[in-house]
Amino acid sequence: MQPRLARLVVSTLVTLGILIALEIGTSALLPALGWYESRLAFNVVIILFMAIKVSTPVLPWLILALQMVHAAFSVEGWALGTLAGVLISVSAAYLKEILQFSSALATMAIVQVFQVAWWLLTAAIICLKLGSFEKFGLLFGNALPATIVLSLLSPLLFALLDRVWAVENEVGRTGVRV
Amino acid sequence: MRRLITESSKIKIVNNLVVLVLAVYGLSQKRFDLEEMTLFQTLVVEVVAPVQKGITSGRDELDALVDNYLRIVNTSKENFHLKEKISRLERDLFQMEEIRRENFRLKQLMRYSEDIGHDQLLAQVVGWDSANQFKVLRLNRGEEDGVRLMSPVITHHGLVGYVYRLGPRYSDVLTILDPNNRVDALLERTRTHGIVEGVFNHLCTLKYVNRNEAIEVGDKLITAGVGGIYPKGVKVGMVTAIDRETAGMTLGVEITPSVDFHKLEEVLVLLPRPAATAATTPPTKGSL
Repeated sequence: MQPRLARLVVSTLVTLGILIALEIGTSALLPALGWYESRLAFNVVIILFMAIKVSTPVLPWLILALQMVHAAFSVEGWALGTLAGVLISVSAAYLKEILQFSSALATMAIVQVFQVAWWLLTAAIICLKLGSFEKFGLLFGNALPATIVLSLLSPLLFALLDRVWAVENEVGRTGVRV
Repeated sequence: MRRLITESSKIKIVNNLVVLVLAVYGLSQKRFDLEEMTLFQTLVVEVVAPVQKGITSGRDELDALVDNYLRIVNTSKENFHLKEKISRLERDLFQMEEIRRENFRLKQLMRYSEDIGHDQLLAQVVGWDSANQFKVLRLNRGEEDGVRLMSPVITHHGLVGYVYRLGPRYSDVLTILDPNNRVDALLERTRTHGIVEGVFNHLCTLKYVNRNEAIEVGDKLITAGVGGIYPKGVKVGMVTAIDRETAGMTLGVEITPSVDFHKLEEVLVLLPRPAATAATTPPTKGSL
């Protein structure tokens, strides 16, 4: 196994492990602690990290793998998030050069913008699937409060994933090539 | 080098296109009202659901742990052991009180289940859906326990939903709070029919009620027994607001469900009797 491929496989498996732990946290631990109102979509933040910071030709397949695991925790399924994730990753690829993760605040702001784009996209896809945009505001608005919490947590999560994917800070601005 | 970069870009584009096509196909096949669990999903659920169950059932211990920590921070060394002893006793007492409450709840459920006229299975809520757009609960009972797809789920307070996705030992319930779940309901006082639909935030709406109907705030809703999923007469909720200013021929009616989904711990899954199984038909594919 080539060193690059080995790193890709190991990093992917560790990332899937982190996602499973976070999904258990948001689906069982937080409700057990009394947080019922909204769920923290950690899969979105992890996919955003991959889209912005990991540069590999197999990125769409990694997004698909993350969504397959997410589907075990949510009836949302794998297809909706995969579609949104790949579209967001394509747009992030064009913006990589101008995205500056110079501070925690910058990371939060970038993650918030991309999350809003994600939920606008998924709400629109669900409405298209349902054939009616009647619930667009409801679907989008329902996801917003959790995005703020996720943005606040994103510097920590990004720092963790930087280590998993061995992203150097300087290189991280333009994405690490795996 | 240039050739390599070009080839890499080509691979990226091809990968993006293939996964996009897969996702679009998957989405076109996706149903928001009923789904069969894939082998991969079954495997993941079988592995993670016991962890979810452990965390959910360990809530009392977790509460006690947090309480203990807060107490210990503010306690001097002199009375540390004494406080610990009191804390242990309190925890025991708390657990006994929890057992007493659970006993009370189960008795209520069992008493209710005797009246409902179906075979029932007691199940525990072990998890909640991790996406905001869906209001789904995970139960610690599955196909091996006799649960079937579209089995109605209730408590003694009222209707919870139906089994949407089924694994061997766990099942997911689409609650009435989810907009994808539609319940044919009947106003108990006026016998007016309508369709109850979830609107998130622990509320529902009653649709297709003629604006001439004399319904009032406080009117109770029960299942109409139409559609083959829910039995007739199960409490659904109560009318808490009526919007008579809406345009069109129907009223805007807000419903507060009878079940407090925040406090849901145990539920009853109504099992189909052999003769009733054949009569149950799934909803149409195009429905939300």
